[in-house]
Amino acid sequence: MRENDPRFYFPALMLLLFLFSSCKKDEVITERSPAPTPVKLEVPGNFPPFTDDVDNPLTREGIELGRILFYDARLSGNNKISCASCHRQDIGFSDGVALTAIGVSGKHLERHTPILFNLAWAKNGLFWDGGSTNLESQALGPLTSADEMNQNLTELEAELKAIPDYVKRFNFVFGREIRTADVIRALAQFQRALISGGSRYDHYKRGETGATLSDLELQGLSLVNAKCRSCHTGELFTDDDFHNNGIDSSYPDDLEGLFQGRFRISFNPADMGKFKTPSLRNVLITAPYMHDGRFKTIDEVLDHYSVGLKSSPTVDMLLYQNGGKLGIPITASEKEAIKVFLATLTDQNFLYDGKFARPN
Amino acid sequence: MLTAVLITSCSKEDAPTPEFVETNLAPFSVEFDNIVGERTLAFNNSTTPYVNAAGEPFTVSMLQYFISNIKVATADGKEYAVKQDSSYFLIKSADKATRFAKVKVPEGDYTRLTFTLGVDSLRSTMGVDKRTGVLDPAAGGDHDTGGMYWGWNSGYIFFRFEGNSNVVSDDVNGDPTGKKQFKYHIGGFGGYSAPTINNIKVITIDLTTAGIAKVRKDRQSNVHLFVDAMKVFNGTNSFKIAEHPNVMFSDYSVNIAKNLAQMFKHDHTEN
Repeated sequence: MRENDPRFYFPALMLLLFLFSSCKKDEVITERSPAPTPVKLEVPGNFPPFTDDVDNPLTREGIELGRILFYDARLSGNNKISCASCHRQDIGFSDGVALTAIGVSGKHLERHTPILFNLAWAKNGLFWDGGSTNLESQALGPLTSADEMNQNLTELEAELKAIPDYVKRFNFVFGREIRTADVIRALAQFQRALISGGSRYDHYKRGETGATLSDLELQGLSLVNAKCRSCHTGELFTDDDFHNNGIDSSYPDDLEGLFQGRFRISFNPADMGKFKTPSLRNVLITAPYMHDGRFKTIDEVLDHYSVGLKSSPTVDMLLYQNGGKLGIPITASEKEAIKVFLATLTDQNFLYDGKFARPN
Repeated sequence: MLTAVLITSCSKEDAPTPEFVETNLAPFSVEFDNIVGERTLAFNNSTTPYVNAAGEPFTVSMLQYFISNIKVATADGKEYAVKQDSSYFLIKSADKATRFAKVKVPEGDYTRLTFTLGVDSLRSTMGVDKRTGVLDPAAGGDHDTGGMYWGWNSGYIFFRFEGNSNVVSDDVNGDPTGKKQFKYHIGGFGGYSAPTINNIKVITIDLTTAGIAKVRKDRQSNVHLFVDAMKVFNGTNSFKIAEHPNVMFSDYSVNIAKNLAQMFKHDHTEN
């Protein structure tokens, strides 16, 4: 019989295997021509090494698509608010107010808009409490929140598909129909490209010709190293970790733990009231300060650390710098030196770089 | 071996159980039939509300949950895990068509079914490219209309159960909009960079009592499960709506998650 003939057996088996292997649900983006242009970012010499995202590698066209989306108010439910509405390039991609109320609902937020730069090195969770795994998940928060952009993602896909330029760009970058996941990925690529490492401090640190800091600035640097660098660590001026810096002594559990910092994500009691260390880069132009923007000036921040720290079971041990007592002693003249140094961290090239500005 | 499969007759008579060959896949489905106590699930039936063990009347407005990582096992211990990419389902009780989790497993007689209520931690942290279809964070609608993804704490809502009860207060602890709504959004995959709440539940069903699954190429074996939403309230960690009307990502969700595993009961199998 035919079925017993080995010459029938093998083709039939091959056919079976072929049929099952071709039913893959996973879309693999095959090589396309022309393909998006891979980008190797220019990383400042004094920065830690840069690792690109494995699932969302940077391409020139991907970054550009992300930039266009970042400044496009159609990403919001009422078509009036873009990412840039709260993340302004000239002030470090923050918004200059403590708790904005320009979101769709008109209700003020409970957290201050964070700065956006050097996020390529933020690997410990985004948002003040680290609730977002990475840049490829983060935008879903503000996009869908009723108090921020209040967008229905299915409607967003339909809106973008009606715009030929977007259809063309998405197809070129991601090789398929527009999907929310790719909107987020494009935004992530743009944000990953936001690198601030060209301040006067950086030129000095890299030993570039003619780059000097004044004696007062150097004194300020030395004070920051001694008093602040254990949290505002390294060339990024942040350890990308969570600390309770003594701005409160009690943490109500209202709003599902919103005021409890990292605790509401980890449920570890040791994390009560801990928030992410922001970078000190560009700090003088990114007021107000803290996760709720409660300090309007750097003077208030320095006063807080020197005489205003509040005790609680989870306040950070690194803040006990005053002979075993809570507090960081800073004299008036030391405060002046520190401020003068912090000014050297302002990176005008970044704040006004046309590459990151609103597209024409 | 292959020849034996190719000449299997088309009749439904009890032919000998086929040899277990992993590549010899056939259709199989698990049906998630939602009930509430002894009654069928109907929405917003305020004239005849359901009543939980604490005596609280309630109606249901939304019930949806993720089922994933389906596995089957034979009596002699051969196991098969459905290819993970094809093993994620969002069961939406408002859409009857979604109650079937349709997969492919090798031909054989299965005495044990295992599945996960929720999305496993590895998939939860994969790139968005690997989380498509029902795992797309945009799927299911926005937060108010049935979205199953937390934007503020990257991760999926595994089990979303909402309804109304007159025991819900009108203050901030209950429903400040005055609509007497209760909401249970149970999720938590264990955390990404640090350990946190893990409410993933793996459920194993013994099929021998109510009917083993005889999976064959020419038919659709269907394991019919009842999923009793009353167990949310009446399970081991029994609780009152009035005391916990809103439970989302919090310590108390762990108690409720333990009840969820008790919802599933095997009623019968259609072969």
